[in-house]
Amino acid sequence: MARLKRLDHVVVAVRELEEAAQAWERNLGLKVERVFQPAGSNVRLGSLPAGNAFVELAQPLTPDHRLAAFMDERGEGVFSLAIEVDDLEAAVAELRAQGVQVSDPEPGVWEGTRLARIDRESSHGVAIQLLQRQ
Amino acid sequence: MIKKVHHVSIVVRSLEEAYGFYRDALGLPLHKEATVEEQGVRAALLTLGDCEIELLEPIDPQGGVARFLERRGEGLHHICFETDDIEAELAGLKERGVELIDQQPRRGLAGLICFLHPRAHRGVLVELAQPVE
Repeated sequence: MARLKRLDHVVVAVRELEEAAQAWERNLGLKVERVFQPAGSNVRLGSLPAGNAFVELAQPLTPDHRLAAFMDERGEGVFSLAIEVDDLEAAVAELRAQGVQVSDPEPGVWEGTRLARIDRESSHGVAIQLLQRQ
Repeated sequence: MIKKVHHVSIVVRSLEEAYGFYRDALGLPLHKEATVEEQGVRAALLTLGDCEIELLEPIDPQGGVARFLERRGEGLHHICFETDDIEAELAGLKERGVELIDQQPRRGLAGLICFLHPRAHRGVLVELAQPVE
């Protein structure tokens, strides 16, 4: 078993980050803590802390970004789950041993994180990132 | 006030098949399983840290979850936030003119619950829940 620790964040694909953030704050009182564009990326991210986890609003800046492709097909909405683990390499190895398709670990967009992506085929259609915080 | 993420919900064809991944491979303990007739589903809650992953299997072919599955396939369905006063939360949402699916709280697997319309959060279906003993 992969020994998952907690839900870290939920990624929501949006066309316009500020408009979406206004709705989340007005309706539910969830405020944007930070907006940034990770170095070398084509995406703007906004984090809205919600107690035990945060909502990440993700706005792609180029039409070929995978978030843009997702929205072309399905519209705006919940895109993926990021789940924290203590030991990313061990979690990846354990899942692979059970036949789950997982990518090799890579640096994450949030500072001090590394992540591996579980293939949607393995996870019943859900994009899941396993994430380790330093 | 929103306290925390209570659960994230995933529509699947079959709970038993999905347990192979979520319970057995990921190792999430099965906390609760129930049939919720009015939502046309069999639902399961699996514990992930201090929140839960909910799996929904449609049992009513005319229900919203069955239609979601048919249209979009298996995948993420909604986010549920926990509140300690759902009546107050709903009253505030109505005051602010937020589009709702449920005008009144009702019983769900997570306690007293209500759904907001996905248009209120640009395509994200949001549920609020006040756990009850």
